[in-house]
Amino acid sequence: MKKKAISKLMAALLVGVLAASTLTACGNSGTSAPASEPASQSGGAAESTPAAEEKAESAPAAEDGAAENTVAGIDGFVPFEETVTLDIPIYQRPTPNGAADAGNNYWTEWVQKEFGDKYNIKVNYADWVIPRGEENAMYAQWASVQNLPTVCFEYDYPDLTLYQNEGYLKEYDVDWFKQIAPTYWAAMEENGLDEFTKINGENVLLIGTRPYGQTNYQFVTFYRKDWVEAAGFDTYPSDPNELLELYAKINELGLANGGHLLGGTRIEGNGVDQNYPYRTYPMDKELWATTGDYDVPALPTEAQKKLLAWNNKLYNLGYIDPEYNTKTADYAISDFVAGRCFTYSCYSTNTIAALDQFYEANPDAHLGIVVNPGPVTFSDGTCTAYRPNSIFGQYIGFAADATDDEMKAFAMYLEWMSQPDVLFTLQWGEEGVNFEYNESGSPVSLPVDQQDPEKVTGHNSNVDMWCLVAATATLGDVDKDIQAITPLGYPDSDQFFEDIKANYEGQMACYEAGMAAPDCSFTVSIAANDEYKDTLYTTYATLRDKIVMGSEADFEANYEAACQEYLDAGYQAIMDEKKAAFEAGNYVEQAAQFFAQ
Amino acid sequence: MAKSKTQTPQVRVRTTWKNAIRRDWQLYLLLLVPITLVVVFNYAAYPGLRMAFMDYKPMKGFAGSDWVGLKVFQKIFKDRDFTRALRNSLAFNFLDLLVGFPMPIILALMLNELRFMRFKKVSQTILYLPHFLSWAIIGAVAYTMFRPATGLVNTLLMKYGIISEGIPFLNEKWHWAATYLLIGVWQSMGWGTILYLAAITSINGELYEACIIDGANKWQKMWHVTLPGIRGTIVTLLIMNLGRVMGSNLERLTAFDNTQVRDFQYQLAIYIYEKGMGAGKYAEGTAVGLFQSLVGVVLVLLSDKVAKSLGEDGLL
Repeated sequence: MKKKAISKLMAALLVGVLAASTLTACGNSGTSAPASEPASQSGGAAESTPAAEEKAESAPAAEDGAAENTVAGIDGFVPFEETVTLDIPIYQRPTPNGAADAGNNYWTEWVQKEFGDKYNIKVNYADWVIPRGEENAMYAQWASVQNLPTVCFEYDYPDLTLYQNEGYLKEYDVDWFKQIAPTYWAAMEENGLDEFTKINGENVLLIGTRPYGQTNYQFVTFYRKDWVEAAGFDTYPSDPNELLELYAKINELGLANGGHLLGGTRIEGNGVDQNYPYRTYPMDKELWATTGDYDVPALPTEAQKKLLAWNNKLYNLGYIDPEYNTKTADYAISDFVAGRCFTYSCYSTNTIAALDQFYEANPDAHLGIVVNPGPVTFSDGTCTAYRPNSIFGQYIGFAADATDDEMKAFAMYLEWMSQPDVLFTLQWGEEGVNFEYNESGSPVSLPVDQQDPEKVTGHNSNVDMWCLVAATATLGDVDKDIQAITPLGYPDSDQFFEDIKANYEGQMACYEAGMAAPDCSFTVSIAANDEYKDTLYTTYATLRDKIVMGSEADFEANYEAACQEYLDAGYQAIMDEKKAAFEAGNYVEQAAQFFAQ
Repeated sequence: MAKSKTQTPQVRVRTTWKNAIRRDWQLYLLLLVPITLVVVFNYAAYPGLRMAFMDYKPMKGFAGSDWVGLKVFQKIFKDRDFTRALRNSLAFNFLDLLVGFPMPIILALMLNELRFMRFKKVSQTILYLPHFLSWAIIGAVAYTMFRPATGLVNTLLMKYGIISEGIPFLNEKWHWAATYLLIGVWQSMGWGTILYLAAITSINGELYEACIIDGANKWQKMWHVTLPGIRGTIVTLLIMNLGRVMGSNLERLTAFDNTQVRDFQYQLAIYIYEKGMGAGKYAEGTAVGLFQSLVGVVLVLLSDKVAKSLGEDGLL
């Protein structure tokens, strides 16, 4: 009898546990769709779940949880009466050097302590972590449950136009924002960003700054200087014909240890195969507007054809890895470290893990950084043009379901972060823990493995936190800024500084000569771009690999066939819509120096 | 005319629900769990299917999005990428079925004949293991093994002079198709034997004894007793597999992705992911998913009917 009762009890318990676990799994998990209640709290702020358009109609009013800012800026900040939750996305990136969890670490806690606790704001990063590269998918997932973070942001303008088209964004009142965040707005005005806040006629964007936007000097290409010297060259040649001679000599000497000296990894996504050095300058303005951006590769243009022909030649000469289409980006590092590859490209910082590994494996090797020599056009028609960064940092839009309190809290957050002392601490960390001052009084980041593990800064010195204010850190002086990103403590560090500086100066000269035009930004959304770009990324990769991996004799035929397929896959529709927008004047004007008159 | 079957006399016992529940309440209680799972994860999502008939905007939700009737379906049926994905999905799923379906049966028959029990158990465990590997791992290992110039297999074949240049197992679309299918068979065949082995154990041992008395050899026992004994299981699994010929496995396809095989690798799962999730076109993704399910249901019903007309029990 007793045994029977126990078995009944066990059965009931088992069912209860199983049912509970089932229902728990169905619940709203914090990570995928946070259930944080909007901080409606007071002042009639709207709830987060109702249809967004109802709330989007009104710009935020000042009568909310915090007293109205009678004094502009941070001096006028008053704590909210009830806690406001500020939901801020943050990128999660691969962390080979063991950086902390992007959404929950010492620095997110520091923001809470220094900002959130003062104004009764809960700054919530943890529920809004976005794997870098998955931005569109993550925002779409959150939107599908009508629960976006307080703001949506991205570095690429077309993404924001997509968000606006999909109804993710909410209009704001400029005067209201200026009253709360005058420092942030002043930076926008100073950099000419305040002219670009509208999409489809609605005032939706706030824009972070991007110092040195005319160049991209922070992105560097290291090359084997010892190989260049062994091949009898004084320096890394810019002329494509001289480059071919150099490659041939390196192969002849067997310096690449049996590898393919240019390596290669699979290409995917946007920004691949940039054709700027293959364009004709000054540019035809309509061609620039319709095909000149790097969001979707412009396969059917003459410039792209020249680029592909060059790669096809290199492939058939055996300089590019014949298996590159199956290799991920990790191979670029391993091939370089193993001494099988001539170059390696990355953003420059004081410490670079790939360089640590390289010098350890190749103690006698020497590296240099490829330098842009300034505006030069070579005999084959190519030139030293490049894609500059733009003047735009992050494009930020308030989410359609953000309440007035949340919007105000975010404006306060931007203003607080724009204060020089706050920005400096976020960018550099704490002295003696994350950085030290050098002889000239400039901060120098400590290698991650020498920082206190509890206080280690996030990817690229917390860039994914302060990127809302500025895309890159600046100390106000180009030499200091170059020093701040120069890889330190390596055998060639002195040379690195000289090379980065020379590259910056060469790029600036190109910019002034009209050979570094920013991409065209349209002030209306290009629906065809949103519709077809994902398909075109994969279509481009497929077609370009067929062209590049084909024989040189088949190049013309392969290219012509690919162009037609690419146009049919949606590129023609994108060009047509961009042309219409261009003719209607719906684009951001650029300086006359870039265009043929 | 219906096939006559031997009827065994049965005593009809009337059991009321009340009595049944009182007697077996623990079992019914346990049944609640799978039923809840099915309701929550299968049926509760059904209202979302209306997305396929709407110009669905995530932030507007169902209430705010416009009804567009069959426009979404018309759009995808005109899309040549959809046609390509559909063609590839059908071709590869039928090939998967053709190559992959008999393998677990053959393997189960072979395992059943093993008499050294320890060897049999070890073999079974080794055969089951690939089922527990994720496709991401299988894909990475496959690329490491099958790259044309640096892959382990080609390196060995070239080293011993069997081939002069690497075979593009995963770099050329026809080779890719064969490699993709065979790796699929390797991954799933061990696990697939479980049901067949279970069915084999239920075969009456007296039938084998009768065969032995009649002088049947091993092959004859297999052909005349074992295979007919598991025929019902085979037919049931075949019908269920036919229902999946419109499906495709995104994880598997992504693991074997590269630009040179896109002509074959582009299947419905990729189409839905790119157009639905990637481009945020949920309505289109849902429409394709619904289309896949409907065709799957039709195929199941048809094959069930065919099976019954051939005298089998069928599935339904």
